[in-house]
Amino acid sequence: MNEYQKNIRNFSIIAHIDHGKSTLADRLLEMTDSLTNREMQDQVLDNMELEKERGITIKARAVRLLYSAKDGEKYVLNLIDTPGHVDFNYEVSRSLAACEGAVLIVDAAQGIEAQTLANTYLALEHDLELVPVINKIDLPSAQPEVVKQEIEDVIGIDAQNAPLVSAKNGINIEAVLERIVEDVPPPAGDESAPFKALIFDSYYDSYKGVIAYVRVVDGKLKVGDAIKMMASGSTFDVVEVGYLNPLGVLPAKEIKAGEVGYIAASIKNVRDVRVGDTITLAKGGTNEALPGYKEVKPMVYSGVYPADGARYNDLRDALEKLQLNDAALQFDAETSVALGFGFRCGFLGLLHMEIIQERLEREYNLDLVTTAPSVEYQVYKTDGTMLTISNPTNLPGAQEIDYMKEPIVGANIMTPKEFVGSIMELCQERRGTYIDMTYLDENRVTLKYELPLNEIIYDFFDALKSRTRGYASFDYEMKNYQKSELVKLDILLNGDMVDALSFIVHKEKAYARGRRIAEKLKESIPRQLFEIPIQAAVGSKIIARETVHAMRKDVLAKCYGGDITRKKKLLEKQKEGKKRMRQVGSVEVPQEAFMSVLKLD
Amino acid sequence: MENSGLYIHIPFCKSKCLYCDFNSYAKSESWIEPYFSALCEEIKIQAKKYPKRYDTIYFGGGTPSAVDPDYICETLSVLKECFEIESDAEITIECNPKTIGFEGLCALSEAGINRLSIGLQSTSDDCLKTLGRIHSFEDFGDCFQNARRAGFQNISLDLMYGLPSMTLADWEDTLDEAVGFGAEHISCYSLKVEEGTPFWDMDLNLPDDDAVADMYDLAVEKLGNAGYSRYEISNFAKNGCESRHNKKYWQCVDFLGLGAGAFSCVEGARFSNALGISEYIEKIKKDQSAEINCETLDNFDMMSEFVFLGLRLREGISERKFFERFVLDIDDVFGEPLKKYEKTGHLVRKNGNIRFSDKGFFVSNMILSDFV
Repeated sequence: MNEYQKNIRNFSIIAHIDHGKSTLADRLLEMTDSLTNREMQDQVLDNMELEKERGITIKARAVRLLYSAKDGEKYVLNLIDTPGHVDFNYEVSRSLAACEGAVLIVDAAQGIEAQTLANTYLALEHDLELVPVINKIDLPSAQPEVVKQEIEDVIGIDAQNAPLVSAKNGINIEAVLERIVEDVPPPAGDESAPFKALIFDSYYDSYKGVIAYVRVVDGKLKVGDAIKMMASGSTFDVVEVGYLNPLGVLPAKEIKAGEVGYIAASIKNVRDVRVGDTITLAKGGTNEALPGYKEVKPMVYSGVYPADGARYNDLRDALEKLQLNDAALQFDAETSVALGFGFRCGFLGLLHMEIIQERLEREYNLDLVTTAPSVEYQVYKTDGTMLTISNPTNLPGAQEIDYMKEPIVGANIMTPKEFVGSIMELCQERRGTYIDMTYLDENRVTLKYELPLNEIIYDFFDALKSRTRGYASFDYEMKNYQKSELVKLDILLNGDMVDALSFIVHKEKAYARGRRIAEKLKESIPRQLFEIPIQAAVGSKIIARETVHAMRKDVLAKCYGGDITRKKKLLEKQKEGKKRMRQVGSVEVPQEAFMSVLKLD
Repeated sequence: MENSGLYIHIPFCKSKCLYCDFNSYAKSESWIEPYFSALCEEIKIQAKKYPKRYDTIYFGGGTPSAVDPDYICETLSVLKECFEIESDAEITIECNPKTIGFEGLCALSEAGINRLSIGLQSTSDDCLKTLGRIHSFEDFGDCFQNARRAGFQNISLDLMYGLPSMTLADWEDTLDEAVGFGAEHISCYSLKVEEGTPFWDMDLNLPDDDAVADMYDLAVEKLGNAGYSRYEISNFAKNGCESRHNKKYWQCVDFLGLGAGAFSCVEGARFSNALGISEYIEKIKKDQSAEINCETLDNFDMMSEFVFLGLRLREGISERKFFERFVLDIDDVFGEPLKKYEKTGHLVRKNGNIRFSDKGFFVSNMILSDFV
């Protein structure tokens, strides 16, 4: 290892939500003069508007900080920020794989919480050196000594020297930097070996094409080198390399073993730069890819339609633009009788879906109607062929189906032991199969379950949080497909089937689900001039029925000379309201109704 | 050309009812004198500007009966001096029981006012109290008898339903008692709680929409049996006693409004006067006009108003009149919604006339909103 490499520290910050991750990142940036004050805006790392609002980190970011330590040496600190949600678990794991250490923030008043643990175990899986930091010591309820002890007892790492800081007030930030320098090991890696780098993120730049964020493991890379993406096999000529600073990129002559930086190579398609893939040289490169690469596949699908049919092309353009930066987003054109022309979109999970939908609405000013999320099913037909479907409407008739399979995930739920009972109950309700239970310590338990994916995509996370007061954490990974008794549940309004409301459900749950949906729809469909029967049906069998009674009163009792302008405005407003409805057969259906199946509990 | 209507606004009240969102003011007696002199000033100015023939005059409020009848009589004589008013004009005044006695009513009658609209609202003293009315049912009885003795042969009553805690049986009693007086005209309004009124912030036990619809149906039935036919959504009259003035609003005939906050619609222009009493007086003094908002209706506005106002009437709208007015076939403009609601049975088209069916009236917003 050369002298320069010895002074590199690659680390990330992990924490439970609201324990101060982004604020500490800001302070580190300030302390290292990486930004002038003028450039400093709160939470620089979370620079998407949506991230700021939700206070979550959606895409990984990385910054290079220069720090003059007390030992008189100058250090390069690469901070790799990570998203904190189960939907993005794979991206988190790739970011952590690019580091040697992790700063573990614990709130001095709250102590260790579910995500603290979940993230800690994730970091330990990657053999990261943990640097515990106790934050929010300015709070009156802060108990740093208690929290220190808790870290030692629960996580089993030495916390006696953990810096006591207030990121908010900028107290003791330097101590954090010192601990990073002292405790996090410098990156291993051989500068003279063939070039090998891990892609942990990417983004699309309209001038330079796709930019790959990489951690160089071995060797070095300069402009003009030909590179190869080991998973996709595609090759490119490097046009720019450099480092990541808080406000953009800083071109450099070369990047080398141990460093974190970026590569631009006129790459047009974000699919060629897959997170977790290994970049090497096209000629004389390594044959051994870095471990852990997975192709990211959508887990959840939903129909996305423009509320105004005329904006179909705008929606397509917007999806294409989002896809430039988001390889996990997939979409294909589809048509619905109820909703017209739109797209079937594939997402990593429910949060990913919500984020995409929100970005479409905000950044592209689109008004959307979305259908209930679905997973991808395998349909084995009587003629021996197999069909995968993500849109329930495409399910063949019952007589053509031999059997069906649904995706099953392996779920790990970490929880304080007092919630074990209610979690088991929840998993039972969601058709889960109990696999294993292990005690992490005398208070904490990990439960392993196999769960059908379609049981967890709606509201499992919310249900889990509410039953455990937010203490349980949860992650899952795709396991396999298993045979299952599935049926298609259809909804009929005034006798007409509404294709956009159909979904696939386990046979034993169809009745209860159908009834709840009918009830929900009754709440969300306003009374109209005629009575509207709402029916839930499996095949030709009606399993639930509700009725929206005909409207009887909708009148302006008084309308004289002075009222005309005002009353006309009321009628115009009412007309606007009608425009926001979808005409399904003879029935006007509000957009929210299509999502009503989502919120059943 | 049809004759126009005159509306005169009297913004004074003894006290403000809890549901009222009209332009009216309690405890403003000191403004009465200056208000009427500004009003007479406005009459003189506007008469020169709008020299048309008028055949209805309507004193509305507020509570026109809450001021000394001399003011009304004086105003009326100025109106007659300045405007060309038909000799058989319908001249209405709104009146609140307990604000005016026999002598006052005689004075109004003698001055030429020939129609009285009395705000009864309810025959239950409990309901009257809930509404914040200052009179009792007995006060109304006295007022009604005094009005008859004073010579009023055309009297209208206002009733309200859908009131807090009201049941269908309560409403039936109200209708029975009201019908017993033998008034020529009855208006029935469902309570609408408006923002900015004390009711808005109160926790009222209001009957639901279905119950209110039942009350409406009951009114149509009972009043019909008693010889009052529904000629507009909320208005019922004995033969020949429909309000000529109010029909002008629904038939899109021009009307000129005078006084604070009064609206006018003249030759496709709609304007309103300054709302506040002092503001109104100031503007008349300063600008010789109290107009504040003026909008010019475009052709579609006028067509749409012709339909949504006209359909409020039992007689509906005439295809011929629509064509005469706009030189367009009504089906070329509103063909789609007309067809839709004829099919659902909410509109009836017969002999060149389009009107609501019985089931159309009380859900009319749903239908009319397709015509704006």
